[in-house]
Amino acid sequence: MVARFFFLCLMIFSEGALAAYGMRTFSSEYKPVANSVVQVTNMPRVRSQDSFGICYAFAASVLYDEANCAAKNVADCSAVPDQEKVSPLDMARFSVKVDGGQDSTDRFNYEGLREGGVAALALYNSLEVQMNAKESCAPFDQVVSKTKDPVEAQKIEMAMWKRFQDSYEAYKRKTRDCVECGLEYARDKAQELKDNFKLKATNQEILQAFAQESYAKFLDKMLVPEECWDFKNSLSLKGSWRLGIYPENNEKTNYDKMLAKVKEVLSQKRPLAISFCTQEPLQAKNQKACAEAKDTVGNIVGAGHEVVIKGYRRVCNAKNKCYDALQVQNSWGESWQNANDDGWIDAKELLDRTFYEGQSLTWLQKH
Amino acid sequence: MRLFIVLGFILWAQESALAAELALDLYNSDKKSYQRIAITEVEGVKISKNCLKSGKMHCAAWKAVGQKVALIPTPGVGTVGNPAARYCHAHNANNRILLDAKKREYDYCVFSDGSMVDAWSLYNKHFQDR
Repeated sequence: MVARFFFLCLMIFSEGALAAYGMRTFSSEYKPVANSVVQVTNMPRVRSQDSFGICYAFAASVLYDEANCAAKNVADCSAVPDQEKVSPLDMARFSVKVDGGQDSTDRFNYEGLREGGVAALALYNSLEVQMNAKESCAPFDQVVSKTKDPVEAQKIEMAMWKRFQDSYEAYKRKTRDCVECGLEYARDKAQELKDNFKLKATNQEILQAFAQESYAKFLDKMLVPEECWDFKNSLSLKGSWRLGIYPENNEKTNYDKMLAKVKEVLSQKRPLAISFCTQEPLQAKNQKACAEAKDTVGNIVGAGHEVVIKGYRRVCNAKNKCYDALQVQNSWGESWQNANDDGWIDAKELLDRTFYEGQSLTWLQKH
Repeated sequence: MRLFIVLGFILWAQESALAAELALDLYNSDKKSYQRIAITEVEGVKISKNCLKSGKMHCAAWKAVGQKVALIPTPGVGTVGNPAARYCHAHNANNRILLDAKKREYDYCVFSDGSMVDAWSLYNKHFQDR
């Protein structure tokens, strides 16, 4: 009986604790300490990644767009139009290591869009290639379903990537047995997928997508039209930039050192991306285990996430109990920012969830 | 005269209870244009004004506000996604991104009857730490 009560409490508290995802705000009794604020104020707009697992691409895009604003002396970075912003969807191709011997500056070696990735790698490769598609050319809202039936739309949205993957794998199976059968299937599927998703790709491009040898490349062809590969539809980073990362691989660090690095970078007016574990309650011992957490039937339902840090301050209550706070720009839309004190959260909670692993922090700095 | 004053007061109180209103834009892929959605706030939840019928809240979005359901993680991915967007799906609603005048993005659960509720309003009502 006691055990059942304990377990029930654990479930209740777990569900309540689930809401914070490692980003815990302070109660109103805690006030900012005067002169403690270090902040990057001219930031791109807060975005929503919808339900798809490409947070890293959104974090990388925020850093990229902010750097361009800084380089171009844009007065209001939040008002930059889509023609001058990078597409997070396109950024999702760059979190991959190019095989040795291949040209890392060639955009054609980054074919394929992937859920799950790291902002550091995406940014590093973006800097190499210097050719990202504009948001206006590969708009994120193209994944919005046209289907009126919410049940079907729900299945489509939840399984959009899986649905594409199922179509791709079904085509591969049919083509193995009968090439004509595969082609017929692909033609039928192309129109269905185009009707069900607001795709900019033409039917011809969708058919070409089916011919790709990997699912990631198939997705790329489906969502990022050929025209986005034209120079006139792409952006590059103005000025000379390099990637900062902390800690370097094999470098030992801890809370105090990592916080000091965050404050140092912020004081140079550079925002940072941070990768961490949102698992509640936190059971993983490292970021790999966090990303590979499984549900009761063995499906991976990982809890990795990336956000952008844009501010630091110290907060204290009337009893002079004080904490460090970091301001994050999350890709969960404006409502999340508004409901979470504009992103001001407990620094210790957040940094602990990096497990102080290598490359947890990433930023762009001028040469 | 007193009756009119009292009635006027009641109407004013009701409007005040509905608090601040705002307008957001939702892209209509059929019409290839944005449609304006009137949003109001009721009991701390931002919800489309079309839920208000004859002075009462009556729509699928409001029904969802009163009905906590289990969260559904998306299998196969090592990252968490947007939990509120996925919570829309748990309520058999689509998640849509609505824009304000400055093109700031808000996730809304859109139901088959056309009613909508701010996804994080809904999520926090059911799951936020006390």
